Amino acid sequence: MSALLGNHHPLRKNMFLKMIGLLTVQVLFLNAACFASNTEFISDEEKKINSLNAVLMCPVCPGESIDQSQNEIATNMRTIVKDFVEDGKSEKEIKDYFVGKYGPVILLEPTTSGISIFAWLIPPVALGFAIVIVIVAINVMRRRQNAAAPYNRYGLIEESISEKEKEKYFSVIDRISNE
Amino acid sequence: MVELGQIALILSFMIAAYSTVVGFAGGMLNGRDLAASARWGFYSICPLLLLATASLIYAFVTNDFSVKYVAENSNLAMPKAYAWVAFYSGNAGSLLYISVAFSIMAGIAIRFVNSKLPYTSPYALGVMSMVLLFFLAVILFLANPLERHQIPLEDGQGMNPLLIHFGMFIHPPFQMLGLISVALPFSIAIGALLAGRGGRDEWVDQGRLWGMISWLLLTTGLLLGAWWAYTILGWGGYWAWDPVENSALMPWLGMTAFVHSIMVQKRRGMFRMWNMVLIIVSFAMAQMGMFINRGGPVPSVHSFAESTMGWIFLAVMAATLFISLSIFIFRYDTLKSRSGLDSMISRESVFLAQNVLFLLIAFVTLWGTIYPIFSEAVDDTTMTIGQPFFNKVNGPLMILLVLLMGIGPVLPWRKAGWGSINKMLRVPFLVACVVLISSLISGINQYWVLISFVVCSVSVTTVLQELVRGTKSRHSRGENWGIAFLSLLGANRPRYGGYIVHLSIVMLAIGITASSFYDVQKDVVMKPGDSAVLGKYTFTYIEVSEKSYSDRMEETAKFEVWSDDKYIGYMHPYRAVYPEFQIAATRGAIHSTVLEDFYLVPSEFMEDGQAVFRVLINPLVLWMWASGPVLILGTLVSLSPNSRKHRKRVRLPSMSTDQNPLRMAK
Repeated sequence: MSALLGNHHPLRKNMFLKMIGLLTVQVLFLNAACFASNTEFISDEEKKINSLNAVLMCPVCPGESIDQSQNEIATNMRTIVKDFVEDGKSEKEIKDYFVGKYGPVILLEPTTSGISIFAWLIPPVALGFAIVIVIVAINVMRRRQNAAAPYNRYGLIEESISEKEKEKYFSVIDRISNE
Repeated sequence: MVELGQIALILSFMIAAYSTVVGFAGGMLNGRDLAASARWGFYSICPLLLLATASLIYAFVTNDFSVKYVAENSNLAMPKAYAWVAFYSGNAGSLLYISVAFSIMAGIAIRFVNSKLPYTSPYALGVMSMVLLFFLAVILFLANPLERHQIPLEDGQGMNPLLIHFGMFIHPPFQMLGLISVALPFSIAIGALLAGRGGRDEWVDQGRLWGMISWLLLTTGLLLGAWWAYTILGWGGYWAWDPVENSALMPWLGMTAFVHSIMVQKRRGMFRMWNMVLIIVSFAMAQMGMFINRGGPVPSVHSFAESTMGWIFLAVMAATLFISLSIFIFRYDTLKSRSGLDSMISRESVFLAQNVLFLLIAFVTLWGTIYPIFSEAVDDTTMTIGQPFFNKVNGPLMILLVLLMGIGPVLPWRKAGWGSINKMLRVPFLVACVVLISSLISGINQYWVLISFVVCSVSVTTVLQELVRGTKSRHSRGENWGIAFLSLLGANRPRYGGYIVHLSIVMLAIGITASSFYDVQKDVVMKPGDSAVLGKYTFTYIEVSEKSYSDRMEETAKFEVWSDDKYIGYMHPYRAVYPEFQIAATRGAIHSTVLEDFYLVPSEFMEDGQAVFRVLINPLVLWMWASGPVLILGTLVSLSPNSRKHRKRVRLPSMSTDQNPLRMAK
C-alpha cells in the first residue's frame, strides 16, 4: 500500500501509519474480547441460580452473600435456591420466600419501597447536586478572575500577565508615581 | 523482656506528650530550641517502640502464653514465621504496629519538613506527636498487647486460621500503613495553616510528596487485599463492598482527589482552600476506616471481633474534624487563590470536576455503608446494603471518572479552544469508534461493558498520544527514539509518571469490567474419575487426599486439566477444616493466562466420595494484578525529585518574636 501511495509523501505516510495502528487495535481487541461468548457456557437456569445466590445474604456471616460464604447455612440455602429454580419458581417468588423467613435483611440490596427507597434516591440526587456545585464553583472562580487585580496581598504576580492586565498594572504605577 | 517493653511504652507515651506540648510551643513562640527539643524527643520514640515491638515478638517466638495477647493470638502449632503476623493480627497488637510504623514514617517526614519548611515544621510535629500520643494512650489504657495474665496458660487459642496465609504478611501491614500515613500530609497541612503559611504555596511540595506516598501505600494495600481475597477466600471474587473494604476505599478516594488537586495549587496557585478541606476530610475518612475496623456498628468480615473501642475512634474523629475545620475557618483569609479560572473548559475545571466526583463516590460509599444503621434508628427497618447496590451505584460514577481521566490531560491549563480540543480528541474518538465496532462484532452486548470499553479506549489513546507526540518532537530534534522517550519522561516527571498511573488504572478498569460482567460460574458434583467441561476447559477429578495436622484437616483434590487440546497439567484446590474454630478455609487452584483465569475451588466433600466443586472462568483478571506494578512504577517516576535546584535548604533565622515575619504580615 505504501508503495502505491508513495513512501515519501509525509501525509500519506502518516495516514498509513494511523491505519495500521487502528487495525492493530482492532485485531488485538477482537482477540482479547473472545470472552464475550463465555456466557454461553452455562444454561439460563444456572445463570438465574448464580444471580440469586449473589443477592441473598448468608444470615450468620456478616455482609457475605451465600454465593461467597463457605458456611453450612449458605450451602443449604444454595441448595434451596437450586431446587426452587429447577421447580420453575420465579426470581421474585424465591426472594419472597427468603424474605418471609428471615426478613428483608436477607436481601443484599435494599428494596425500592418504604424507607429503603432513600438508599437508592440519594446517590443520583447527590450527583445532581455535585454537578450544580461544580458549575457554580467554576462560574464564581471565573468571575473572580475577571474582577481580580493583577496582584494579590502577598505581592505574588502571575508568571505570565495578559496585555490587558499589564495595562491595568502600569496605570496603577503611573497614578502612584504622579501623586 | 515484656516488662522492658512496657517501660518503653510508658516512656514513649510521656515523650509523645512532651513533643506535642513543646512542638506547639516552639511554633507559637517561634523558639528554635524548643522546636529542636520536641523534634529530638520525637525521634527517640521510634527506638523505644521498636523495643516494645521486639519484646512482643520475642514473647510470640518463645511461646510466652502468660502474655494475654500472645495467648489469644497464637498457639504451639503456629509456624514461627507467623510470629510477625500474629503481632498485628489482633486489635492491641495492630495498634502497636500502627504506632511503631507511624513513628518511623513521621520521623523521616519531619526531617524533610524541618529542612524545607522551618516555620511549619514545629506545628506539624505537634500534630504528628498528638496522633501518636492518641495511639499510645489507647494502647496503655485500653488495649495493651504486653499485659500479662493472672494465670499462665499451657497453650494459646491460636490465630484465626483464615489469617494463616502468605497474604497476611503483606496486605494488612500495607493497609494499616496506608491509613495512618494519611496523617502525614494532614499534619503538614494543618501545620502550615497554624503557622499562617497555608496561603504561601511552600507546603505544597512536602504535602504532595507525603500525600503521594500515603496514596501509594493505600493503593498497594487495597490491591494486595483484592489479590488475597481472590486467591484464598475461594469464592472467585476480589472485592465484596464489605464495610471495612468500603472504609479503606473512602480515604483512598479522598487521597486520590488530593494528589490531583495539589498539582493545581503547585502549578497555578489555585484550590488552596479546597486542598485543605480535602486533606482534612481524607484524614477523617481514614479515622472512620479505623473506627469501622475496630468494632464499629456495621458487621464485617474484617472486624476485630472482641473490640468495642471503635467508638473512641469515632469520638476522636469527630474532635479532629471539628478542631481542624475550626483552624481552617480561623485561617480562612490566608488561603485566597492566586488566580481564578480563565475559562469554563480548561484543565483546572476538569480537575475540579474530577475532585468532586471522587468525593461523591466516597459519599455514596459511606451512605451505603451506614444507611442500614440510619434506617434502623429512624424506622426500625433492618436492611442490608451489599455488593449489588454498590456495583449499580458506584460503577457508572467510576466510568465517568475514567472518562475525565481521558479528557483532562489533553486540555491545556487556563483555557482550551475548540480547535485544540478537536485536534487532541480526534484520534481518541476514532479509536473509540473502532473499539466500539470490534466489541459489537465480538459479541459484547451489555451496554455497560460497551460504555466502559469505549471510555477506557479514549483514556488510553489520549495518554499514548501525549507520549508519542512528545517523543516525536524530541526525536525530530535529533535524539534517538529510546533516549527521546526517556528524556520526555524525565522532563516532567509528575506529569508523565501520572500518565503511567493512568494507564494502570485503565488496565484495572478493563479487568474489573470484563471479570464482573463476563465471568461464568458453575457448581459441579463429581466423584473421583469424573470429567466435566466448562467452555474450552476439560477437567478430570482424579482423587482426594486427606492430611491431618494438629490444628486442621486438609483435603486436597487433584485435577487434570486440558484447555481445548492443550494439556495444562495438574491443579490442586484444597479445603482445610479447623475443628476448634469451626471454620473451613478453601484455597482455589488457578490457571492464569493473559485472557482468562480458570479457577477451581472445592465447596464440599461428601461422605459418599462425591464432592462439590465450583468452577469459574474469569476473563482478564491478570490485567488487574499486572496493573499493580505499573501503578507503583508510575508513582515512583512521578515522585522522583526533578533536579538539584529544588534541594535548597531553608534555615529558621533566630530572631525575637517581634521580628517574626508572620506577625509582620498581619
